[in-house]
Amino acid sequence: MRRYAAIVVAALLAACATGLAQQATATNLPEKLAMEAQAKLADHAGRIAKLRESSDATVKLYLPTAEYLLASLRNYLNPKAWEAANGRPFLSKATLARLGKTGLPRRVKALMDELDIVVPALEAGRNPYIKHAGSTLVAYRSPLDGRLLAMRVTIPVRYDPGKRYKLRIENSSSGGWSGGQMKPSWVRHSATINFFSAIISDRGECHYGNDLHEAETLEAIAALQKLFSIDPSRIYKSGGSKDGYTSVTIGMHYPHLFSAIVGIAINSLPDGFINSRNLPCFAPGREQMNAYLQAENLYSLPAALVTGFDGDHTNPLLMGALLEKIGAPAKIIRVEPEAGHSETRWTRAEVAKWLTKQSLNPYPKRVYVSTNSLRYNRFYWVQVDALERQNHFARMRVDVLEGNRIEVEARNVERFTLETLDKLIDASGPVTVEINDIPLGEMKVSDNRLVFAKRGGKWASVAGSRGGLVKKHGLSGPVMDGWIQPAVHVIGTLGGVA
Amino acid sequence: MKLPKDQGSRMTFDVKIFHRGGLIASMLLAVTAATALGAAEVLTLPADNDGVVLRYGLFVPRGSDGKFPLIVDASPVAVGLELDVGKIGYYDLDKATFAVLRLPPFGRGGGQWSPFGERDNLQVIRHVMKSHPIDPDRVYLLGATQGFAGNGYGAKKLQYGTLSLAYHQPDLFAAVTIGAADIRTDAYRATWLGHWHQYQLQYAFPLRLREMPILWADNLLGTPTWLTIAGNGRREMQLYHEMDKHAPVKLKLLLAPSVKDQPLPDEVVRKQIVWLLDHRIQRRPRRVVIATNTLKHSRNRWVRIDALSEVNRFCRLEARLTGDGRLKVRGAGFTGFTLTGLKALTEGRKSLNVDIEHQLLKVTPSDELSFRLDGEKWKLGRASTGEPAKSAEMTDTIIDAFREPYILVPGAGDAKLRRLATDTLQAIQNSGRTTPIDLSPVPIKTDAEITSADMARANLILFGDERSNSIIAKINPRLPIRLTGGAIISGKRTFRYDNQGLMMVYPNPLAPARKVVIVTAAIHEGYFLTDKRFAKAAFPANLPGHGFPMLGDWIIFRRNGKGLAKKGRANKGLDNAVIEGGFFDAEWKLARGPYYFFNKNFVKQGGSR
Repeated sequence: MRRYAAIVVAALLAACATGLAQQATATNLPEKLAMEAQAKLADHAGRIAKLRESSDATVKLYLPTAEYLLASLRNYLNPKAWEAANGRPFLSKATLARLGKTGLPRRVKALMDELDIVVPALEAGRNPYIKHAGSTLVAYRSPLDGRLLAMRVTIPVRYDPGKRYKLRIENSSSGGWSGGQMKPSWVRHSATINFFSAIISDRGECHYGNDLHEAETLEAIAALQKLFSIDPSRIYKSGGSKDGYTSVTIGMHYPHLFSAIVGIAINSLPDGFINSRNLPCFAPGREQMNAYLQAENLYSLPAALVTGFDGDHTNPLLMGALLEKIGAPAKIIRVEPEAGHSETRWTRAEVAKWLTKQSLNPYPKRVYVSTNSLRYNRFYWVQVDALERQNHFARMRVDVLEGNRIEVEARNVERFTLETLDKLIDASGPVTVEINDIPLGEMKVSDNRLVFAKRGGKWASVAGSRGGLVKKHGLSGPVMDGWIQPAVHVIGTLGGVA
Repeated sequence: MKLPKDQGSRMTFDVKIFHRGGLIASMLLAVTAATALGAAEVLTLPADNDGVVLRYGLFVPRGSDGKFPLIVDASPVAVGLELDVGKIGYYDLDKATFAVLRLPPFGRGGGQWSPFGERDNLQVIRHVMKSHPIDPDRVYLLGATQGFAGNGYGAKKLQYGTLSLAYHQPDLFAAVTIGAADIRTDAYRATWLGHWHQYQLQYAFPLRLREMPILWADNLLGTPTWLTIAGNGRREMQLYHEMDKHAPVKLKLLLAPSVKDQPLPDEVVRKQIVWLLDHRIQRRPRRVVIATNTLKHSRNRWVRIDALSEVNRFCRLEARLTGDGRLKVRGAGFTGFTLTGLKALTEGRKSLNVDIEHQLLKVTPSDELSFRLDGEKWKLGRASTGEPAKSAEMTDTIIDAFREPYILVPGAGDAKLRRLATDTLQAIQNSGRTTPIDLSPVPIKTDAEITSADMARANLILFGDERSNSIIAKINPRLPIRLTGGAIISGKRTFRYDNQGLMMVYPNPLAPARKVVIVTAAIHEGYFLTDKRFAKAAFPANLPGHGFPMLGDWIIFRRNGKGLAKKGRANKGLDNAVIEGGFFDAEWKLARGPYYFFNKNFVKQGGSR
């Protein structure tokens, strides 16, 4: 029955593609190529439909890429359908003019060639990238909203899934997208590196304080770890301009996920850009855009913050000075007068060299915490479970000391957990804990964790979890939280004024 | 011209008063420095660094044997530019039981910016506290929207002045109100200066960081603070959050979304005044926090930072007495500190456990205890430093030397040096001001006239070189950058100064408690400081109303970029205006530290060396 359905879908797709050949020709695609592409589209559509039936784990893993390539080819051959669905031109007049006579055919051929690499490999149950190093588009289906999203991934030369590789990721700043959401401008080119590099940006350019891009980066990292053999202790996030900001803020929000971050021409205080007359500086949420207020979270995360001389708004020295104030190790903080909105070649080389030497330490002896939201509540082995005052910043400094001692400074925190203590202390013996200069005495670790809560102004070790409807990680607000988790938009049918 | 009536004051000064109207007609007048009790008056005081006349408004109530609380008012928007306390709407002086000191909204007057405002204001405050019955434990700072201008490190947004005065003097004010305080005022400067100027001013980045109040907010944690944020605020909320998350002793927030570019209503300010008067300064709080990148501002109540890990790098020190009698010191970026008055603070304990970043030291509390970092271990006692060494009294920049008493000293042998001296002073003090400041009180003496008493009393601003100025000739061998036969020798580099010049500050080798500033330039070819292109690069103050000189400890500059500028560049003429610049290290030695600047284009383009 399933096979029958697949054949019917393939036949429908093929018929549709053939019928639309003339429209493709209308977008300056040579007729011969258009016909060839239509045939290829029909062929791959049928083969991919069959692959969907496969239960092979490898096929399931890499099938989104084939689907993405197929959908992209279909878009190029049938731009009208895309335009009808999206309400704007598939390619703008300016783009078409820039592409000239050869640009569009080159794009279509590139997609056909890549399908010829990916589909046969999947039909053979093989990872399509083992023999095909270089830079290409790799797609995954977003767990957030089910969309197919592409990343530009550079696969190491002689990639061996039996080994673990470093991963350096970037998002797109202003401008280009990885796969242009199924209208890629280019697909494959040769590149020879010995680690994985990925540009994650199919949802568009990352913007200051855009939670969706942070979610996209995290899910893309998770997808890359499934698709390729990535060393989890060697994941680096780097970027420039708006992506420099994204690199720094994602490092502040999830320092335990990265080995190091690099921010070029970054902005400590992007909220200054917001038109203050429309959105007062005390509007809720603005502080979450403020990298400075959260910069202490970078204490144990190696970070390179570099700026040129292109204007005050990209000056990361403010964060640099804060990190100096707390004595944060492993930082490169530099002003480069000869760089504009970028870094110099010299710094690029130096930072790249420095970056490869950094690796993730998931259990640093000192952890700083600065957060005003339970959305960002986990910092290495310290977890903030409840804030005293919502939307006010919580600040913690937690030190593991010799002699099975832990010292905690906590401000605006009502409850917190110290996790994986067996990696930091002798969790089988008694632990001495001091919070805000008040010794709590010796206590026993349970399940490698200690939970503390403030009751009546006093801290005490507690057991169990909080009950009832309380703000917690994953259910903390603000409104945007509703969209950075899977969401269904429900339209009322009862009528009425609204 | 007679300024305020003479009330038989306790202190009388002879100063020359500048006559507005553009004519340099100075008059010798007797100026009172005190006011009649119960009357609001506008008074004057000569600045103790250079004699320039400072104006202020003062009201002290009558009829009390005790001492009055003092409100230092710095709110120009709320009251216009009026100095007269009696005209300020939110005061009802008939019923007032407190004194009011009105600081001048535009500092020394005439313009908007000044590197001397904070210095001047502090002098006035201290003078009023000394000369009137003021309770030193009840001095308050009222800085409503757009505090006061012309303060220490200058800023377009005047309210920064209020904030900087508060965090630079954490043990002066019992409580402060600050309205609409921006947290990084350098943004204004950068916006106006443009890219190329920033390039030229790279060496000045530590000074720019000093203009970012958010980095200094820690110093206010022990001072009850009321922040007001208006509807057109941009970043002020961040100051609130930065303070809030570090456990301030008292932090109050007023959001005024309907107030935009207007003064706060009088009734709100009256409430602030009542709130202020409710506080008394805590001299010995159990917790003290200092954040700084200069030893100049390194003291807060019973804690003083003696040495930074690195010159110009920010440090933070938090000292707190725990409930069980331990003293915890936390922080980074410092290698020496002193605790004073521990005996009283620990209430006579015989011994005290001091925990410095988890390193324990048992000490006997005394009036003054110093600690130093030796390798990785903290030890008792101060570190011995070479001479000279940077210290709270002997640190900071070229401009700092002008904030203390100074004498301009052109060499006697060259008449043009005198012109260079006055031009330099005007460039620093006066440029861009719509109404120039009267600089006639500033003392000028030739090198031959300088006595040892002068050297002990004032910094010497020396003009010329070892050939034209005998004092430079005497100290030249002991300087980190030397002048030799028409050349500037900076480490391994040599610059001919036929078209290049040097400015540097250094402890006076002949009077180590004071400084010298050396200004050497191509004096025979014109006056570099009046060259508009150079002035724009090195002295942002010369852009009308937009800044003040950002000079580190030393710069070597080119008179202008003539012959070196690339065609078609917007910044044509500015190339190589600053060739080298930076800060001396902790021992006043030439350092190629993190903020050292060298203009590579200079060499690329074949500049003479």
